[in-house]
Amino acid sequence: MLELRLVQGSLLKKVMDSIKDLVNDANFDCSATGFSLQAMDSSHVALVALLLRSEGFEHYRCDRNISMGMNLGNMAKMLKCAGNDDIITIKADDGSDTVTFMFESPTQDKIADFEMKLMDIDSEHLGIPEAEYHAIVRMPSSEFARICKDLSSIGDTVVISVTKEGVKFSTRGDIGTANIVCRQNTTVDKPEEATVIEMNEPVSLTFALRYMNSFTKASPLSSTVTISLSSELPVVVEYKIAEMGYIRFYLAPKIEEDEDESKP
Amino acid sequence: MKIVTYNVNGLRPRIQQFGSLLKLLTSLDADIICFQETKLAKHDLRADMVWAEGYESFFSCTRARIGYSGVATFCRVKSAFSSCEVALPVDAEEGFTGLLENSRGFGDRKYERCAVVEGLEEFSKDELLKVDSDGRCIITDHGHFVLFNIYGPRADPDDVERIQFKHNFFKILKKRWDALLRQGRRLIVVGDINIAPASIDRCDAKPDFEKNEFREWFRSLLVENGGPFADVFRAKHPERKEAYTCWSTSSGAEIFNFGSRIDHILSAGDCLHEHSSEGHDFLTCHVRECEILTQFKRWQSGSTTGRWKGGAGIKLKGSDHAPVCMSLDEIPIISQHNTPLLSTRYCPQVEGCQQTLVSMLARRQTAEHVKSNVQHDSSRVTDSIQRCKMSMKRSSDDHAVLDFSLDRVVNSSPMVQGDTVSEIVECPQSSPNEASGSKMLCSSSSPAKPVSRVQSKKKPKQSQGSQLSLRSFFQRSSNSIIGISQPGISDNPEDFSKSDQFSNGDSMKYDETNTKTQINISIQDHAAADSLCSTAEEKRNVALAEWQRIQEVMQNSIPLCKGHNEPCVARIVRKAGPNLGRKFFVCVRAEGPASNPEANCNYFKWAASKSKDKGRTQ
Repeated sequence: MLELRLVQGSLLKKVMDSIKDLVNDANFDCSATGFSLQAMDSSHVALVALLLRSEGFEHYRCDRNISMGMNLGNMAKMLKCAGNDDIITIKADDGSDTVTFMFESPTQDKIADFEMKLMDIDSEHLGIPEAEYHAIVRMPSSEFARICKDLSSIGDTVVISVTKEGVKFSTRGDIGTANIVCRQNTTVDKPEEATVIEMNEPVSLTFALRYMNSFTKASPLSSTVTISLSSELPVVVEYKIAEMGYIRFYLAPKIEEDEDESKP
Repeated sequence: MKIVTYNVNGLRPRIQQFGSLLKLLTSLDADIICFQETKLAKHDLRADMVWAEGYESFFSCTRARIGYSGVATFCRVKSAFSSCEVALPVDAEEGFTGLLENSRGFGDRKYERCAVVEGLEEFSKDELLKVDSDGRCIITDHGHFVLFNIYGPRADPDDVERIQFKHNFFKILKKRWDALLRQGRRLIVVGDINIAPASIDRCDAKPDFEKNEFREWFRSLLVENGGPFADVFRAKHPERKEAYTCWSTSSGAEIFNFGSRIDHILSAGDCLHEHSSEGHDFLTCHVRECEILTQFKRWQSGSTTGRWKGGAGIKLKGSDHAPVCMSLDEIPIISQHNTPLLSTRYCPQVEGCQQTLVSMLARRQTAEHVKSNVQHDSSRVTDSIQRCKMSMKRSSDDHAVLDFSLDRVVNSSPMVQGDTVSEIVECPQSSPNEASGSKMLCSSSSPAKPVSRVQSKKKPKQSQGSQLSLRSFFQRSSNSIIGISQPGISDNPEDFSKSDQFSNGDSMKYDETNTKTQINISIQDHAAADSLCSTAEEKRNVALAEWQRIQEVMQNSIPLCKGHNEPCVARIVRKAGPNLGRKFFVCVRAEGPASNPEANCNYFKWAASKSKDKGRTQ
């Protein structure tokens, strides 16, 4: 028996919006500690990890660990039917092949039940390691989204370079080049507007803007984004979900095409 | 004389590809160039799309959907007026039913319509208008022959309505041809007909390929089956196989030449010889050769764009069709004539405001030229003045009106007075007065320079590196560690410590040929064993090894195709139906003939996810 009641139903809607374009279908894993998801994009290049801890739910009942395969497009369709202020309850019986989403209006005068078929999805859980990173940048998520969007109109890739002075995003394309530098800035009125750079080592890595832009779809979930970079590890783009958990995107950097390899 | 037909798959992108319309036309090097699928709407007809120095153009645009269909005929002429050139048509018509508005030209003057084609009584007016409303036909009469520039409709095998449309289209077209043939006219029909006549014209044709009604219809047109037409390419190359003109856009079909021959040149009628006898006809007496211009194909062998890779990261530039060219011999000149009213030079929009400064001045120059050379033949003056004053309303043929309008022009606009005009023409950028004057004349003074600058010598997209799958990324990073372990390469203190660490251990046995797993293990060994290394370093190595494992899992979860043992590409079902949204894997290679093992092996596998209740019923 599974019953998860989330007062802030809009949160789940935003989560779906942020990953449904990247991931086709995925297993949602429920345990006593929380509701989580780990999935790859269709080309198996990027990885998404989502965690919503049990404490964040008004009511959290999960009798035994259960994994529910869902088509995220279909799930997003159903969650679109929930109002932004609605309370969402996720329900599933043991051994059932469906999951039920219940939407309650804040005034309790409207209750909607949506039942969705589950899928069998083969997927191995990948234990993603915690790691130390050479550089960690925290900045307003809207700013990051804007930068990725702007740069993608010029080029296909972004070079993210972190130095003591700040973080530089640059790209080049057929029409020219673009460089955007964000300096460390902690003297702001609101903490979420700060740009904070923790750096052990300077690092400069190239990423596909297509993926970065897809990651920034999670911007509505959090006012800040944390980008962790190491020259040997995939980048982590993390959006914290207030008092509940996080959504993290992992992506391997691109490398300069070796001349000798690209020639036929 | 050369005639070329080319499905450009969008005139706009083709102009961009070649830098300008003129360059596109020049590279095709022909006297009459017929384009299909221009994908232009009426309001897109701007000077840079339709005007090229030395060419007369005739456009037919779709009246229904935007960015769809459309044909255009470009004629290379020395002069559009009182010319004897065959390339300059004596008459032109949009559509083949004769029912379209302004089908014979622009302007107020209603051209006297020739009798509606006979034998179309069975079709309603709406049906007739419908086949012409897509912009699929331009007819130009070149005296010796009538040229049809056709874009034949395509119909999916299960789309009944569309098939009916295609049926009507060709039936009505055939009536028009028959009518012209009865009048003793010679016909040349060119274009993307969207029919591959026989098995030889299609890669991997199924045994019943030729049974299709449209293919049968096409073959029935041909001389060998009692019809009036010769399929010029096939007549010249009866045995040539794998001569294709169109390749599927999405599957990389060009690579293995997995296409079909659907762009055709047909000819019908007698030769021009005076004493035509047995064995004489247009094809044998006048067609020197007919070739497919494969140099326009998107994919050239030895291309440096790299492998197809399921289309990812490769943007093939160019049309999915190749042009077909026919050379004619012994075509004598015809009597003096002027460009027909359908010419885009009379299209109100193009003429009205959408010119560039340079093209306008250039045209003024030719107008001046004509004026000075030609005596006061009133119709010619009309022409030149018309070209002088683009904003002027066109005068009718009526002489009185003509004189009046001429006077009015001269009086009302001082700029048109003889010497001023020639001054502007001769030194367009001389004095500021004149410059501003010419600007005033040309209401849309869109500068000409940008046009030439737009010649985007688009380099092949600078691939600033390929997307690493996590596996190859780690392969590289382990390679780089090997590199670092060779002294003197790194300049980074931390890397040095790493290199020490490796040379302390058994790094000597690493060389470039080491397999990844060996490195993998040794890194783990080191992480575990080397107590000297800092905890941060240790943690990073653990993370590295862990990520390598993750990557392997990610990579291995992509199935390998049967034919080549290569990782497949994932796709999602977009077609409505029970499987909509389901993920599947297919071979990444380009489509090709089944006989070629290098081509797509047709491997298909559903992703390991299916609806649960479905699983139960199975």
